[in-house]
Amino acid sequence: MMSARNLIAVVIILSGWGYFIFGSPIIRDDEPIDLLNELIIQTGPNGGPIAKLDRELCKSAFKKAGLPEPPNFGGADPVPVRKLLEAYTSWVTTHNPKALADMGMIFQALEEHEPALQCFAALLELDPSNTLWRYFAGTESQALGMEEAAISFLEQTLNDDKDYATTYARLGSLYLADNDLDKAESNYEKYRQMLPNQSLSYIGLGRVEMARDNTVAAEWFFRQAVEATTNDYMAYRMLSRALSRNSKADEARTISLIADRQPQYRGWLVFDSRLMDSHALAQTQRYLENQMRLAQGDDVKKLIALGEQLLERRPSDSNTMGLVAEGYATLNKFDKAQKLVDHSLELAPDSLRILCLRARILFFSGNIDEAYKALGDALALDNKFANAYELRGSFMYNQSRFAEARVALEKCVELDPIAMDARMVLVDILLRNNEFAQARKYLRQIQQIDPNNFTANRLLQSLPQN
Amino acid sequence: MRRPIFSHILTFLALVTVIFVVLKALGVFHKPLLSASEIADKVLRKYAANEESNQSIEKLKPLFTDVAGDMGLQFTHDNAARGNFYLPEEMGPGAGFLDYDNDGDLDIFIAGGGTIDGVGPYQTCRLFRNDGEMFVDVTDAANATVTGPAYGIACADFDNDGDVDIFISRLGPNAMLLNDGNGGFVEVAQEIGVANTGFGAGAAFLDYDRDGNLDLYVTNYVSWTVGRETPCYTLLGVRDYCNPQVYNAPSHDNLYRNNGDGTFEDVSESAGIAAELGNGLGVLVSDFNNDGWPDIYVANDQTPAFYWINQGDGTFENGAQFAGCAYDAGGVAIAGMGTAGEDLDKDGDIDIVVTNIREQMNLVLRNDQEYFQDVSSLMGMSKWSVPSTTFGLAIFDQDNDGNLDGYFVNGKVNLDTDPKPGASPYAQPNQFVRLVDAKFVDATKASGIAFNNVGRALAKGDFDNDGDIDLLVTNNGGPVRLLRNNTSNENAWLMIDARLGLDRRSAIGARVIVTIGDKNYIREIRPQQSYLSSGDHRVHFGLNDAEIVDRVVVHWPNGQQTTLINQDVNQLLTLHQDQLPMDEKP
Repeated sequence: MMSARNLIAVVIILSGWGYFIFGSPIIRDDEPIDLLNELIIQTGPNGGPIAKLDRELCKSAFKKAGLPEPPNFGGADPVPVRKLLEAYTSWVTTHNPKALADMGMIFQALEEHEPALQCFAALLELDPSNTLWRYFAGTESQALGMEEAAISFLEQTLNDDKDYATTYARLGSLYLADNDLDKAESNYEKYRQMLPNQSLSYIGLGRVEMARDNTVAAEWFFRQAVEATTNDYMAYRMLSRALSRNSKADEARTISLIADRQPQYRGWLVFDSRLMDSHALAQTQRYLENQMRLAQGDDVKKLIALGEQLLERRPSDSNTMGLVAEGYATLNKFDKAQKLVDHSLELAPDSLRILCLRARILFFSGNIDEAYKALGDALALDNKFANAYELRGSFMYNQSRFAEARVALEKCVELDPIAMDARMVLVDILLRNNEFAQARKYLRQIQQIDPNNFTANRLLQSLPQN
Repeated sequence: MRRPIFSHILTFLALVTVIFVVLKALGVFHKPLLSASEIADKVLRKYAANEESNQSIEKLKPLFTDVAGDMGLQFTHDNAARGNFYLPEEMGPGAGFLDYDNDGDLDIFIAGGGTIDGVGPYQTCRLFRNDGEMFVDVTDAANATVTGPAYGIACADFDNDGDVDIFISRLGPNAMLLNDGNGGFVEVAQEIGVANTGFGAGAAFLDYDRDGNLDLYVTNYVSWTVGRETPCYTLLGVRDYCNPQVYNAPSHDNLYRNNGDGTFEDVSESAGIAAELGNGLGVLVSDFNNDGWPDIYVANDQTPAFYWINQGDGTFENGAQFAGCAYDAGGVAIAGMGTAGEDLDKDGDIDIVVTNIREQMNLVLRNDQEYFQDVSSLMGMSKWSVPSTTFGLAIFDQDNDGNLDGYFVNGKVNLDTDPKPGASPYAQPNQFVRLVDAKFVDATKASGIAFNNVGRALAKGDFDNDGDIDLLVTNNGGPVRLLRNNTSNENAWLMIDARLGLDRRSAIGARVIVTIGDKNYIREIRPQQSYLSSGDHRVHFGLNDAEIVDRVVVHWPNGQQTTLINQDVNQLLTLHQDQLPMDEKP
């Protein structure tokens, strides 16, 4: 018969394991940590708000919630940090895939590719009906150099999501890198069929032909590319490359110069609106900068509003201050512009760009002597700063001091081989003196920089030959 | 009375149960109901299954040991990073191997750092003499006291007096330490005409006009002054360094022709070099087109690379655009940092490897004579180089097995939000690769290398004269490392020290071809390559199981050729051009 002691042991064992298997912990250490509550906003060394969050607490909170390890938020811009923590809070309280998706997209915008990929990979199981996560798993794999995985994800995306052209372009580039030229070609071709007015597919198809050593066909595709998108530097660059392979050296050189004058983009952002959505969600400073760039020269008021928003987040950014000041100057609000420039110079007293901007604002607000003095200050710091000579020349030109303007502008073009505006003003001064040979020299330089420059082309045709 | 064993077991189980119950009650075993990370791991494992293993090489003992500390090579770079985020802070320092005292072993010179804007101390460059057992700091004794911020190092006997001089590029006037032959130096850059005041970076000696005197090519980075600085930010809004494109101030490089009387003339304009602007960093001199004249490849940081084709008349033409090496295959002007040249495909000409910023792979340009083909992906660069920002590199035969390997030093230029504990937020691990079946395969883990620094320069050389290649690595804001190669296998090797004329200076520009059976191995005497580095003046061949070298052919810089047959392996072969019979021209 079992002793009392043994009986108690059996009872302990049975009830204990019963509790172990079916029971809940009494002291639960897994209550989600309220990270939003832990987030402290402080004033950073540059005067802007910065996030402060206990690094270890944050890491363990994410780990406990089964989330990928977050980057270090210490000292970071609080806006995307708060967005990410909101997504975290939503995830730990609801386990709604939307929260995980937001988190992945914010990681993606912050170029934290590994945690982003983990979020999207988990979403493949948690929210399998949404093909966007498979697409993003592909893009993040691509960013991490995991080419096979990227191809796999993106190919599968096409099962349910055939209409997003960028998927084909990404696949084209991946197959091209893998030297699978037929697959690269077919993907770029699909992109071309969907977006025939975009340069991207023609560049891809041209590159496929280059890889096949079929440089004549490549040249044809690259010509289509520059026709489709007239400001795509990559299209010009690749055309130049094909032309040089086809022994068309002069045209290659000209096209190469055009390429150098176009705005340069980096990565997939300009071709992938889905990536832009991630930036908008994270409200990164880069997103604001991009929006400012889009507003530049088009919507000055919007530019100023965005710039001021950005300055709230980084109040010592002398560069953005300069852009906003230029905006105010364009609107003839010289006082505001001047105030910003003065503040900017307090922060960066030796900034040549800001000294030049100050000179411009002073000049156009009628403070001529001070404007020249500001330029003098810039040149005293760096006597090879072409922009200062250009400004000096243009001020003098505006004051009809043509001989002096010429000297300053000649110095500018000597220092800056692609300063087109300075060359154009020089031409005007030379034409006033009937110095046609010299004018032609600068016009030809302008033509080299920009073969499509209407004024230069026309003047070259109409100028007397001697 | 003894209790039965059954009772003991029950008691034990009851105790174990109590322990588990307590732990359970404390929540130790509690896991979140839904772990996104675990799900992600499961999903990613499925997709990653097809990814090639990057560690396919069997585990060995560490291939290299850092012996800098043990051998007295004490140097920690001061990058002067004081919160201003000045671009020059993150570029240095350079370093070089040289035998300045002609005692047959390699000494070391390291570029200094220190203040960029004149606020705070400068750091002096250091010269260390190799006395066999230790490296001894002889900077002051040798009067080699050049201050930083210094960048590129190029070591060669430019005045043909039989001892090695040292060129140092700087932010501001460059320096040239003229070796007096008695263990001392005099700084003469201004007097001899190589000072220049730009932001000097990579430098290489070459005899571009084949007149027997070494000329000098110096890349210039950005036309930088404090006034051209502008604030830049990370994606998290934290102040950080700007990329060079922000300054929009590329500059032209300088070519200095050696007048043969100890002075130089700046021929940048007349030679055509000044016609192109770029953010110049790495420089590589080689006779790429096999016409007997040295050409120059320049790795520019985010501006198109230069390929200066020597016209043979004292001028150069930039053929980069037409030869397909200005950009990568996608038309991107890569962030070219360091560059090295070797005959990777064994077709008798020099191919080029260029290091690059993270998210872009390192570039491999296969030399097809008329044209360079971007074969980076085909050669496996996308598999391991994408996450790294790489500066210095060395392509060499680490284990003397006759196949080339590669060592890459990495270090970010933009802030890492989550650095490893104790590491710089710009640190990245070094990488080691092997060339297997025409692909560079990552072998870092198997190599036992675990250096995590802000790597910059990398010079290769056999400092202990044991027949394998050691490495000298500098780290921005960090210590210098001297990586002794631990190869102890039986593989054969050959080192060749080719020298010219009566003065015996190293035959920079000579090409050496070693033949064993049907295999040819090509090396060029080209100490300056990689990033801001100057390496061994001797060339090294790993010969695997060869017992004898069938043929050694030296193509001397003046166009003459020497052939030697049946040479022993495992030796340093010193060849003096003036003491050897020259081959008859065919």
